[in-house]
Amino acid sequence: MPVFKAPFNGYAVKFSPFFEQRLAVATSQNFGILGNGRLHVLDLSPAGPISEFAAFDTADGVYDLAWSESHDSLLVAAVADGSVKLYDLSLPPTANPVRSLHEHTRETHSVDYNPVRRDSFITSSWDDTIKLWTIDRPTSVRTFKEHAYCVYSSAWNPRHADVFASASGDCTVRVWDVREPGSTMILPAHEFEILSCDWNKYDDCVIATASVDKTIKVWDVRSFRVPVAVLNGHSYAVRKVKFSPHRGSLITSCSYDMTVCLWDYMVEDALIGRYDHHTEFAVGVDMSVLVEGLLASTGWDELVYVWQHGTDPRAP
Amino acid sequence: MVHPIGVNTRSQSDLEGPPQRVLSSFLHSFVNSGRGGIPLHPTPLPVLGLSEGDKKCIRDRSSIMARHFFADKSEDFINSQVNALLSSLDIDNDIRARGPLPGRFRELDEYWNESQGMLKPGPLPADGWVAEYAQHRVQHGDPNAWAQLFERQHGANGWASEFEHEQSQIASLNPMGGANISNLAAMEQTRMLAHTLAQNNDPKFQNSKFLQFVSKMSRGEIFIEDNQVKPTAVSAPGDWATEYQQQHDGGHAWADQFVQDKLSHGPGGWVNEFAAERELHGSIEDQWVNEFSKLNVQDWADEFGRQVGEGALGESSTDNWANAYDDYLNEQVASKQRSDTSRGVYEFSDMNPYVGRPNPLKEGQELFRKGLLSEAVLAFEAEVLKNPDNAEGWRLLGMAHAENDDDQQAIAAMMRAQEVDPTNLEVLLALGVSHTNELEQPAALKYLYSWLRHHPKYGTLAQPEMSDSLYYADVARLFNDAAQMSPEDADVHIVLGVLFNLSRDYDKAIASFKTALALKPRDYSLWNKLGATQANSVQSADAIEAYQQALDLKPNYVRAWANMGISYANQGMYEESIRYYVRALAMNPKADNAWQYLRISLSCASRDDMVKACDSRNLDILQKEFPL
Repeated sequence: MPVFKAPFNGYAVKFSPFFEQRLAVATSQNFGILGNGRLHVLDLSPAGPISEFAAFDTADGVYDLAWSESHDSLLVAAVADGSVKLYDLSLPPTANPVRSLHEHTRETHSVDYNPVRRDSFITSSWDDTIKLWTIDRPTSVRTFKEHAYCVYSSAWNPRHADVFASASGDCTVRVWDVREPGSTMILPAHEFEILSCDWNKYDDCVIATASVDKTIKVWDVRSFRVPVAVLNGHSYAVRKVKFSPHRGSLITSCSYDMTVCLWDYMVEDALIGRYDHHTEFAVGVDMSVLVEGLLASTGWDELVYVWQHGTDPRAP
Repeated sequence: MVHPIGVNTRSQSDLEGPPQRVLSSFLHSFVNSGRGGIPLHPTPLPVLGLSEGDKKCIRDRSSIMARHFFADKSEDFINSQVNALLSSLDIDNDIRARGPLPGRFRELDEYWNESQGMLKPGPLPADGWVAEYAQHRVQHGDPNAWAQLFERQHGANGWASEFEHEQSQIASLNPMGGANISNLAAMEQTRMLAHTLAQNNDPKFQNSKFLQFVSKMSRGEIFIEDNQVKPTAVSAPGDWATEYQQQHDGGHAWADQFVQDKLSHGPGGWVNEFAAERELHGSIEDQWVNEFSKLNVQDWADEFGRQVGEGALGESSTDNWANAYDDYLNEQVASKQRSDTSRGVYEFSDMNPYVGRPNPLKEGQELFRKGLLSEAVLAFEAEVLKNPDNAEGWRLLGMAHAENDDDQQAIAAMMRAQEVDPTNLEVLLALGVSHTNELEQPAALKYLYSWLRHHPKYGTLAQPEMSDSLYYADVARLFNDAAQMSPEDADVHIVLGVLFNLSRDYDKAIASFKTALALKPRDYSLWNKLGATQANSVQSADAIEAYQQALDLKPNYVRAWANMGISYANQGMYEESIRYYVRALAMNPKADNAWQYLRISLSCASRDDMVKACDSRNLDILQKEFPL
C-alpha cells in the first residue's frame, strides 16, 4: 500500500470526510521541539503512488489538523506557536492561510471539528484551555479553563452538538456542555497524563481515553466509577485513540512504542491487530469514514502509511 | 571568476541560522534516550546561535514531551535528561516556564472521593447531562424533562466550583518538581538506567536512528555532519500583502475570502448550506437546541453574547463583536491606503513569528548582533509593522537586508527610513553603499553627497548647488577633503573605498579600506570588503589573509568561506578551494553559485570521481573526502 515521505516528522493524519482518496498530514521539524511545520494534502491514486495535492508551510510545527465537516476544501491546523490556521484548498496558495487565529498563549495541540453543528470547532492547548470557535468569527466564542495542566486533545460528541470531552496532563478527562458555565463531569481516568480521548460513534455515552500509563480505558459516562474495559498491550505511552466510524466496538490507537493497534473492547482478547511498520514513534492514526477498514498512520520516521486493515502497510 | 564585490557583507542567501542538522541530532538523542534509559551526555556544542525564543521552545517543549517518552523513568531521571539536553545546548534551565506535573494530584483524589461521597445519594445532580442522557433515551421526545433537569442542575453546581477552588489552591502549592535535584544523584540514577539498554531486545529499537546516535555520542564520536540552515519562515516575496492582512487586519482578508468563496461556490455557499441543513435536521435530531430555546436561550452563541453583555465573562466589549469588528476593518483599510500612497515597495515576509511580540526591535538587535540575519529581518519587520514611523527600525531592517545580500530590500527599507528621518547619516551612508553594490552610480553619488552635506563636520565642504548634477570626480574629491579634515574617521575611508570600487580603482580602494581597518580592526564586514577588493585586483594571496581575518571574527560568515575558495581557485590551488567550497556548502547547501564553483574546481583538479557527488549534492561524501 502507498507510502508518503514527508520532510518533517509526522504529527497527525486525517482522512477527508468528502473524498475517499484524500488525506491531510500535519508535520513538524525536529520532533516539534524547534523549527518549521508543514501541512500536506495528499491524494491516493488506484495502484499508484501517493501524490501531493497541496502543502502549506508554517513558522512553527503543526501538531494537529481537522477537516471541515461542512466544506470539502476547508482545513484547520493546530500550530505549535499557539495559532490556529484555516486553509482553503480551492484558493491559490498565496491566499492561504485564509485565517490565522492567535489566542492560545501556548502550543495548540489538537483541533476537532464539530460533526453536528458544522460551523464550529474546538482547539486544545498547552495553555490548559480549550477554545470554541465558529468559522465566521475572528475571535473564539468561549474559552474553557478548568484543567490544571496541558490539554492534549478534545473531541466532540458525535451526536450532541454542544457536548465535548477533553483529555489533560492533569490526569483527568472532563466532559463539557458549551451551554454550561463549567464542566459537567470530571473523570479521573488515569494515574498518569492523559494524551487522547474519543467518543464511540455508535454509543454517545461511551468514551475512550489513552494515557502515558500505556493503557487505553473505555468508560461509560452514565456509570463512570469503573471503566468498561482496560486495554493493555502498548509498551509505551499511548499517543492517540480513535473509535471506528463503522463498528461500535472497534478502536485504533498509536503509541510511542512505534506500533499502531486495533482493539475490540467488547471481546475478551481485545487486541485484534498490531502493526509495527513505523521505525520511530507512531503519533498519528486515522480510520477512513468513506472506505471501511482503510487506515492511515504517521510517525516521527517522517512516513505516512495508508493500508487496508489486515494487509501489511509496508507491502509494495 | 568574478568576486562579488562585497562592498556590503554580501552573503549569498540566508546563511545565518541554527545549524539544523546538529540540533536535530541532539534532539534525536534526547528523545531516544528514554527508550534505552541511556544518560544523555552533555557534549559541548558549537555555538548554534539559537534565539531566546528558540531556547524557550526547546526548554518548554522538551520538558513536557520528556514526561511522555520517559513514562517509566523516575522524575530524577527525566530531569537529568532534560537538564543534559539544555546544558549541552547552552540553555538555562532556571526559568521553568512549564514545570512538570508529577503523577496525579494525590490530594485531589481525596477531594474527588469526598465530593463523590457527599453527593452519592440522589441521581448524581452534578452530572445532570449524564443523567439526562439516560432519560433522553427512554423518553425521546419529551422536552420538558430536559428543561427540568437543566434547571435543577443550575441550582446544584456548588460542589463543582468548590472543587475547582480547592484544586487551584493545590495547584499553586504544588512544588514544580525537582528543579533543584542533586546532579550527582541524577548521574548515579542515569548510570543505573543505562543498563536497561542491554535488556531491550527489540531489534527495531536497536536499529532506531535515535539509539545509534546516542551510542555514537557516548563514544565521543559526535561531530558536525553538515550544518543545515534553518529555513526561516519563508521570506519568499509576493505574499506579504495577503499575510499582512491575515495577521494584522485578519478580517479584511477573511471578508474577501468569504465573498470569493461565496462566488466560487454559488449563492448556496457552505454557510447557506449549513443553515439549510440545520433547518432540515434540526427539528428531528437536535432536540437539545429546541429544548434549550424554551429556556429563552436560542443558541450558545447568543447566550455568549448575552453573558458578555452582562459582564458575566468579565469582558469589557459589551457591543456586538461585529460592530467593533467593522470599525477595526475600516481602520485597517484606511491605514493600508495610507501606506500604499507612500512608497510601498518594501516586501514583507509571509509568516512572521515576531509579530505580536512585546519588543521586536530589541529581539531584532539581539539576533542581528548574533549574526542571525534572516531572523533579525523578521523581528525588524515586526517592529516597523508595529511602529511604521520608527526610522531606527527601518534602518536596522535595511542593515540586516544589506548584510544578508538583499540590496533591493535594503534600499526599500532605507528609503522608508529616510522618509521618516531625511537627514539620518547612517541611513544616507547605507543607501549610498547599497546603490554602489547595485552599480547604480548616480543614485549612490546622490546619497553619499547627501551624507556629506548633512554631516555636522563636513557639511561645510558641500556646495548646495552641486546636488543637482553630481559627477563622480567631484564627490570623490569632496570625500578626499573630508578624509584630510579628519583622518581618524573610519566612515569617511569606508565611503572612499566604496567610491574607488565604483570606479574600479582597486589599489586606492584597498588603501582606503586598510586605513579604515586600522581604525576599526574588528569590523568583519570591512575585512570582507578588503578581501573582495584585493581578489578583484588579482591579489588573491592577500585576499585570503583578509578573509581569514573576517572568519576569525565571524566564523559562520559563509560568504567569506566561499570567497576563500574562489581565491584559492584563482591561484590554481584547486584542492584547497574544494575544501572551502564544501565547508561553505555544508553551512548553506542552497548556495547555488558555490555548487557551480565547486564543480569547476573538481574538474580542474581532475577529481571526476567526485563530480557525481557534486551533481547529486551529496555533502556527506564530499565532506568525508575533503575535510577542512
